[in-house]
Amino acid sequence: MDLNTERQKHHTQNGEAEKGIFLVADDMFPRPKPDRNFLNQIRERRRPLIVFDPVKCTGCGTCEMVCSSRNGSPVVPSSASIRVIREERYGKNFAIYCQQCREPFCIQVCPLNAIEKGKDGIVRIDDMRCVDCGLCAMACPEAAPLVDPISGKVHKCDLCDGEPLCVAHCSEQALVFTGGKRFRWIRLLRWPIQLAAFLLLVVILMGSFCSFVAGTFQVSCPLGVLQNIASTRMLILVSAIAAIPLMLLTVLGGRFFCGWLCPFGFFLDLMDKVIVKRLRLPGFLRTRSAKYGVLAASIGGSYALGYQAFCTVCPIGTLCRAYGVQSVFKGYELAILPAVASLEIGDRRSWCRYYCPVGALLALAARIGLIKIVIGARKCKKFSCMRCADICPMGIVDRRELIEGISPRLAMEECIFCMRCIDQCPYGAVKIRFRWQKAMPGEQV
Amino acid sequence: MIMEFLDRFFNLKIAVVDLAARETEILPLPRDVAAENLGGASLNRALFKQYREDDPLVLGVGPLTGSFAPGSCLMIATFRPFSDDGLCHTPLMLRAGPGLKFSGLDFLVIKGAATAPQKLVIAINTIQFLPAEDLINRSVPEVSEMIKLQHPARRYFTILTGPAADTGSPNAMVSLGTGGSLDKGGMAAWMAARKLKAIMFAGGGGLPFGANNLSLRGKMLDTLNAGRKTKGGGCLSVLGSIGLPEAVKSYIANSIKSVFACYNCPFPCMGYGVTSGLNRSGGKGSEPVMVMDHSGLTALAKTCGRQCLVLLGECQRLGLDPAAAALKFDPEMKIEELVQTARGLAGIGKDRQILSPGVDETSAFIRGDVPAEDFLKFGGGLPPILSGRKEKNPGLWTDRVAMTMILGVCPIIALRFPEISSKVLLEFISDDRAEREFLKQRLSASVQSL
Amino acid sequence: MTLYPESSDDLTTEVFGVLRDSGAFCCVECGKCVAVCPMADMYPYFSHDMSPRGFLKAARVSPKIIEDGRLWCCTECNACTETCPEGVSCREMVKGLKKIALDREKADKMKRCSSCGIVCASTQIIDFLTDKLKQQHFHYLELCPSCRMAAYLRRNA
Repeated sequence: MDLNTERQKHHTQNGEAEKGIFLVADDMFPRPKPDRNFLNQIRERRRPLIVFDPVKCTGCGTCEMVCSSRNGSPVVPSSASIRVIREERYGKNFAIYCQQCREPFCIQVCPLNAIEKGKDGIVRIDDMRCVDCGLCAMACPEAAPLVDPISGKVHKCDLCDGEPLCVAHCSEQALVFTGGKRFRWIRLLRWPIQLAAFLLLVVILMGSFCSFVAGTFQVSCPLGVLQNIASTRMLILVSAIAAIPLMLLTVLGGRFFCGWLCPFGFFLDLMDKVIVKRLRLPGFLRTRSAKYGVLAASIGGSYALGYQAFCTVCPIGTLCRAYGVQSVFKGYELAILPAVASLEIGDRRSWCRYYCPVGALLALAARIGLIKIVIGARKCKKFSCMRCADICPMGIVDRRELIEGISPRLAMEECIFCMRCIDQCPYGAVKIRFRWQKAMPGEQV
Repeated sequence: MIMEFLDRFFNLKIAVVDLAARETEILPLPRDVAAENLGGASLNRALFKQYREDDPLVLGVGPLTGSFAPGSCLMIATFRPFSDDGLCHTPLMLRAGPGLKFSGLDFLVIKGAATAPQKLVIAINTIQFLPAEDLINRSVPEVSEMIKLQHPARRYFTILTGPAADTGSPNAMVSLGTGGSLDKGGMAAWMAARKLKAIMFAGGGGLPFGANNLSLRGKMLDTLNAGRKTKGGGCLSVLGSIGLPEAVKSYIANSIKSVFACYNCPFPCMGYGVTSGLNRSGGKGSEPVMVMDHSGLTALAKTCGRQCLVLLGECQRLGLDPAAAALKFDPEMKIEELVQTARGLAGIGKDRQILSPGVDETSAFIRGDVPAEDFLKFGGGLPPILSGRKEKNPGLWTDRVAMTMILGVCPIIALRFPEISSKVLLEFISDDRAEREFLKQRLSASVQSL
Repeated sequence: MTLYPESSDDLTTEVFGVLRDSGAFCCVECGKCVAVCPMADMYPYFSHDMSPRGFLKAARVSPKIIEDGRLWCCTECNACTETCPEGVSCREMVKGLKKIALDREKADKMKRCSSCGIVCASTQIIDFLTDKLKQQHFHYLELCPSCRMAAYLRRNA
């Protein structure tokens, strides 16, 4: 039975249709499920899209002319699928066109399921089903489905099925057709370094709190040093100075330790690779300021108890001591690691986000850090891409801001500098800058 | 001659608008007249002669306006300026030409005088006369914003006059949007005398033009790009060749943050200058000023030095011709005095001054060998440059400008690039050799008689 | 056939004018417009009264139709007009009635663009969009398309 007669039946039977009886478009034309095929994900990443550089755009409008005159049609710039916005108040030009989002908004709202993302990744409106209601244009964060002012028809860019004309004819090369950067090399550097740090720390670690000694040179965990000072109520300068290298590293390079050197962090990253299903932790457990509380408790506890309270239960420490070569075998220490690591089932790196006091201490140092990671508005494709938000293990890229069309500001005290965002971004929008450097136009710092 | 190109390059419609009676008449454009004059300034003049008793303003386009020919943005405004008995043909760029042509009309004849301030709204199949009382005595950006708010449904291209025109200053200048224009012949004063505050074009239509136009454009761009050493720098090179003082050049070069082009122009000659640090209220500002009026900016630079950009912005806000204003500026004056003088020239405040629009004087600011009468005949704002010619031949300038103003492409691009000749442009219109020959003859005849 | 009571007040005259100009009196109640109306897929409470046919019938009965909330559910897509065998332009009717309601300040269901102030979408439509976008309310939904594009330019150029 087709949709029309089904609806008619419900109309004539009773004046008002009951909720839920109606066959809506979903039942008849089910929406496509997201593609979890790994190979397809790789292919989708390499798919070329039109990338627009607002700095180069002169507002000439040639792209509109060429788009409208596709396939021998007359030149009618107002019916093109790309629109050039010229703001004389700001002296800037911008081209609005469909960004072929990875998770398109228009597809979610079309009441007739008339929009479809094809196998080639291009989002197309099916003319047979579309009735020009304009809901796709209302749902799109940049209103990219354009309404022809004369005919009222809604149309949007379909990449000219693979060879976009606007790109070919833009005199300033402000529109380019590219898949972006393909090779992700930072992770090839990071995994070996994480592995090496893991082996090194698990093998050579020694001492009652985590230290690395080479001759007279000593590097210690700063939390351990603080707890030592608090518990013994003595300040031994040599061991206190040993806390400085790690703090200095954090001031210079953010929470680099967390992302590249922490052995427990490495273990959690490995777990992320194998965890398939995630459970949402309850809201009260997901507070980022809890880690500062743990920090205060560990120092206060050390002062009160007279020994290093946190070091005995620290997962980083127990990983090195209990599972290492020089293992000091204590029953409960073996249990700490799985208990804490199981938090990973919730969010990625949830220990690091919410509870780790070492992380909290490094976060305090990172607040006065020298460098920051910025997402530049010029190259970022925001709501249509959102790869950085998907990949960030600390969850500091705000998806809502990306959807509103703002390039988000990253909280550097939470960032562990794993640089997955820089690695993933195909358009080179994510960059490392000094804290005092002015951002690219359009960025918010 | 079949002249079938006329159907593809023109709507073949003329609208005659009577502001007093608020009536419109749509007439077909006679094919023989179109074939005889080809369009643009030449056909404007023919229409002007036809309606001579009404002393009209004729807005027209050329056959290539709106097509893929580079710089195909031109609308030509023909009228009799107050200071002259001859005709003035003012070029209006940005998207004025396509605005008119894609609204379904090729030529617009405006006659009569309204009793109350009006705005003319032109869309396909409709011309509306709407009241514009609330737009009087407001700065140009305010008028532009208010028009956008009053007509939110469509994007309009507006030609509007500013407060200088409202107070009756003869040095008023029309604004294409908020950035001024090349009108130094007094089109704004003409409009103000007839209480026409703004003309708005809705666009929305289109024409097929020539089937080979896109490939021709590509070929032309390849040849032009091959011959050029640097791609950018259009604005600065034009300013430099008409005599921008060296001292100001580096300041302007640093201020121009983005480049702006007219419709379908691959070699932009305009830019947005950011006036940071020399804001007219003395504080730090970063308001972008559109640098479209090269001769105006040069005149200001010669009299006010580095304050030229801020003053250009002020003149654009007032709808005042900056070259005329430059006559009254003194290098010794501070920024506040300069602003006050500008406002006085615009007729605002008690320092009201009247200057006759003296293009002879303003052209003294600009380096070039174009005779003043030709300069004024084409609006008084086109830069007197002629690239690629070592010998000084002022007649050539007039010929090239006339040729482009008949065909409907921007004169500035033809002056900067001598490769853009009538031969190359006619290829866009017709691929029949005999027809092109005929058109070439007609074009030469029209150029000569202009 | 007109069911209008004999009255000469402005509202009745205006609504009558809108109905006449859009051809609403030619409706033969075939129901083709209901079949193609996308509102059926948008609103779970869609009913005959909300469909073009039902709404037109109600409009022909009383000019109080401009106060009816259902008026603002329509997206003005024009599917009904295109399919109507009698040439009734439902969209023109809805547009005309909306304008009357706006003039008389009875448009509390209509949201204005927070930037330029023109009416852009009704509460029902925005609720539908918010619901489909996984119950997240975004600020850009409060802007009309032109202001949205201008905001995008301001943040990113």
